Amino acid sequence: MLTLTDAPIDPRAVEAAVAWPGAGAVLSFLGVTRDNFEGEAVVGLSYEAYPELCLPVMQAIADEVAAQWPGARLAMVHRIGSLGIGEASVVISVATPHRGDAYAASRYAIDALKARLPVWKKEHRKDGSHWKENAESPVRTGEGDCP
Amino acid sequence: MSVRVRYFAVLRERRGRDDEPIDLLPGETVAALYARLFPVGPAGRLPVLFAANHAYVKADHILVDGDEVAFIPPLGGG
Repeated sequence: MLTLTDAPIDPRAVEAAVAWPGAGAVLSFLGVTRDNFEGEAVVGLSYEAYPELCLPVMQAIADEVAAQWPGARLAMVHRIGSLGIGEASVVISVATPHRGDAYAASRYAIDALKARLPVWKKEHRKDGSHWKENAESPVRTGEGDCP
Repeated sequence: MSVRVRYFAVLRERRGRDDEPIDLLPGETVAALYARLFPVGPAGRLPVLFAANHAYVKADHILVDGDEVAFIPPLGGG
């Protein structure tokens, strides 16, 4: 399961997609929308994606995880559209034979997503709306907000 | 010779549209096309990644007729 969705993500469904009899660990990471940015109130967020490029990037990350951690399976779902506070914007589940690999593979996958997945986040604050850039993005304005 | 250019996030807002056909100049690279469509303003030019036909490409990638091109603003996923 490597996909984008405009509906709330069910983490149990993402976990079910990676479960297999050889797995001794199933680990899920949820990226959740936060109610503030550096103390300023955030009232909502919206995410936009380039779907036709997201899917090959997600597949590449899944392939890298499978190559690096034997027996690892990865599922990744990213939400797009408007989100309220406290909703999952991304869910990543990994299943591995042993728990150590699950933590390593999960961390690898979210870091790779932030650095490579063509998705953009707009934060809505009382003073206006701002496109936010990840610290992991290979291109950055350095401002935090895009001008 | 033309390409379809797709715009996302801040560039979509600046351009005021999701996509458009653009005629290519002979031998034009993806970075040259970006510079032509988004001239440098007072704040400088937004740094972007480049994509052609649903794959990331380098700045010196030469475009050909029928390509789908995208300029990828700073990423914000996750």
